[in-house]
Amino acid sequence: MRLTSLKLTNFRNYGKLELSFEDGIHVFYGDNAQGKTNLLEAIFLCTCARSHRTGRDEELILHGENFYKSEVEFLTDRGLEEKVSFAYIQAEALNSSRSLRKMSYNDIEVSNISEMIGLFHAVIFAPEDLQIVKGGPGGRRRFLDLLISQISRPYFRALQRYSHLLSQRNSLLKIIRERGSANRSSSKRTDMAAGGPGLATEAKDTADDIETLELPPMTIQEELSVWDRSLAAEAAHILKQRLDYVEQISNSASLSLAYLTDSNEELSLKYKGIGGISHLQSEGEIAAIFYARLQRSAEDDVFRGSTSLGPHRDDLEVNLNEYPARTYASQGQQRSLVLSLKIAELLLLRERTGERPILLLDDVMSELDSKRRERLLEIVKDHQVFMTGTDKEHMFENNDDPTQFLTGGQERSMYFYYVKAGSVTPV
Amino acid sequence: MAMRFSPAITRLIAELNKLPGIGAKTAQRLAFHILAQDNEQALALADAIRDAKQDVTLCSECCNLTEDDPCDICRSQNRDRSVVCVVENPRDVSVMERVQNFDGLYHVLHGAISPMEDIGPEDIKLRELLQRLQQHQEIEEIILAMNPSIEGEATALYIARLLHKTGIKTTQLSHGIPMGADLEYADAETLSRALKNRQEL
Repeated sequence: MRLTSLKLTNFRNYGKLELSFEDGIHVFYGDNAQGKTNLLEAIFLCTCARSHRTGRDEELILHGENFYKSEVEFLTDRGLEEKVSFAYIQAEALNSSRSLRKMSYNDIEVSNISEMIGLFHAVIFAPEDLQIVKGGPGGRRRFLDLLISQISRPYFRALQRYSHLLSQRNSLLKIIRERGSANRSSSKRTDMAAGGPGLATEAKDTADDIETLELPPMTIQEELSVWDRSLAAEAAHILKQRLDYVEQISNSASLSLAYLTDSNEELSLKYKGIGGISHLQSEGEIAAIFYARLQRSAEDDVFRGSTSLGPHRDDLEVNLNEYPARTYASQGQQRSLVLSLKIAELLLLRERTGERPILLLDDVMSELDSKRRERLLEIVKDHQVFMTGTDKEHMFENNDDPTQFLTGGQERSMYFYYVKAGSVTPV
Repeated sequence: MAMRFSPAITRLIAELNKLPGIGAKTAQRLAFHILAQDNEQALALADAIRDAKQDVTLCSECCNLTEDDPCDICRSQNRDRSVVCVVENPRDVSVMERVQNFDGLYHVLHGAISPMEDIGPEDIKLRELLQRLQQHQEIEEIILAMNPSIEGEATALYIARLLHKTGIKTTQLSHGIPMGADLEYADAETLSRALKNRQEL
C-alpha cells in the first residue's frame, strides 16, 4: 500500500499539518528535536492506535491542547482509496472522568479498536527497537503481539479478553488472600469446611435467615476455575498463534540476516512459555494443559496475589549461533538481528495480507554500513519508505552521489522535506 | 467552565448527574427543564420517584422488582413451575417476557460476579436461589440466561458448579446472530461465537 496523505491536529509539536505523498522514498531532515520522528510516530500510530515510543496518549497531545488527531489516507495494493483516523480526547475536555478515543475507517466511526487493526500497515525501525534484543520480555511480547494482531483480528480480540480475564482472576486472588488471613484468626473457613451450613442444611423460611445462609464452601481451585476455564481458552488461542508465528519469523529472519551480513551466523527464536506445549498441538489440547497448570498454581498465585504463568509472562528468546543474543551478541550484531526481525515482520505482513507495508526508518540509515543499507533497500524496493536523518549534508557525508546513498542503487523517486520547529517544507 | 448556581439548583444538578448516562451538561439541561415546568408537572416526577421507591420491593420468590409480593409471575397459575430462568437484571425479565414463548419462572440475580468491582457470589441473589431450590423440589431445570459478557459467563459457570451437586438439569442460552438483522451488522465477537457454535443442517 501507499500513504497518500497525512493530516495531524495537535499531535506532539504539530498544531496543524497536512502533507501528501507520492510513491518512493521520503526523507525528513533537519536539526534534532524539530519533530522528524513525530511524523513517523503519527503514521505508525495509525496501524495499531499505539505510539512506538510511549503507551501514554497524554504525551502525544500538543502542549496546552486537550486532544490530538492523526489521519492517514492510503491506496491499497488492491487499488482502493482508504482512510483511517485516530483521535484521543482528554477527560477534562469532555467534562467527564474518562478520556475518549475516537476512531474512524473511511469516515465511519468505529467503536471497537479491534476493528481498526489490520487496515493500515506500516513497519517501523527505530533506535528503541534495539530493546527487542537487549531489553526485557515485555518488548518482545509486544513485537509478537503487534505483528500477529495486524494479520489476525481474532488474535487481537483474544488478547483483549485474556487481559480482562486476567484482571478479574488477579482481583479474586487478592480477595482470597485477604480472606485467608482474616479467617486464620477467626477460623471461620475451617468451621465451614467441616460441614458448616450449606445446601444440605435445613430450609430456612424467614428473610433474616438469608443473611446467615452461607453458600456451600468451595476450594480455592473451584473458585478460580470459574475464570480459569475462559482464561485457558483465550491463552490457548494466543499460545497456538505465537508458537506458529515464532517458527515462521525465525526462519524468515534467519534468511534476512544471512542476506544482510553475508555471513553464516545463525539466528534462531525460541518461545519460552510454560513448557509441554508445541505448535503441533491443537488449541483444545493446549487449553487443557494450561488449565491444569493454572489450577495447580492456585495456592502459589493466591500467596503472590497475581497469576504467575501465562502469555503475559512468556518470553521470546533471540539466539545468535545458539547463544542468547541479549548477552552474547555485540552491539553491531544486535542491530543486525533487530533489523532482520523487522524485515521478517515486513515480509510476513506482505505475505499474509497481500499488502506491501510502508517502511518507517527512524534515524537508522546512518547507523548501517553501506552493504547492509543497500541490501535493506533492495529488499524493500517495492515498498514506500519514510526516513529521518539529522541534516542533509550529514546524511550524504562521504558520498559523491547522495541518491546512491539513500536508494541503495535502486531506481526510486526521492522526496526531501525540511523539518523545523513543527513545520515541514518540501524541498 | 465551572458555572455557579444557587445551592438548591446545584443540588438538583448534582443529583441528576449521579444517574447513569447523565453527564454534567445533560444534568444542567434537565435541571433547568424541570425548573421551567409548572409546579404540578415537576412535583409529579418527585412523587413518582417517591412512590416507586416506597412501593416497589423485591419478590420474596424470584427477587424481581414488584409491588405485590410474590410478584404476578410467581403467583400465576399458568406458568410451568419446574423451569427457572436465571437472569442478571429485572430488565432481562421484561425482555424474556416480550418473547412470550417462555412460560417458566424467573430468578433475578441483580448483578454478575466481578472480583474487580468487589462483587462476589454472596453479593448477588444466589443464596436466595439455593434456598428456593431447597423449598421447591418441583424445580427440575435451571436455564442460565446471563449476559454474554466475561462476567456473565463466569457467573453462569459458578452457578453450574453450585448446581452440579444438586443434580438439577442446568442449561445455558446459546449465543448467535440476531434474527432479522443483516449479517453485516453483527459485531465481530458475536459472529465469531456463532461460527464456533455452528450447526449442521
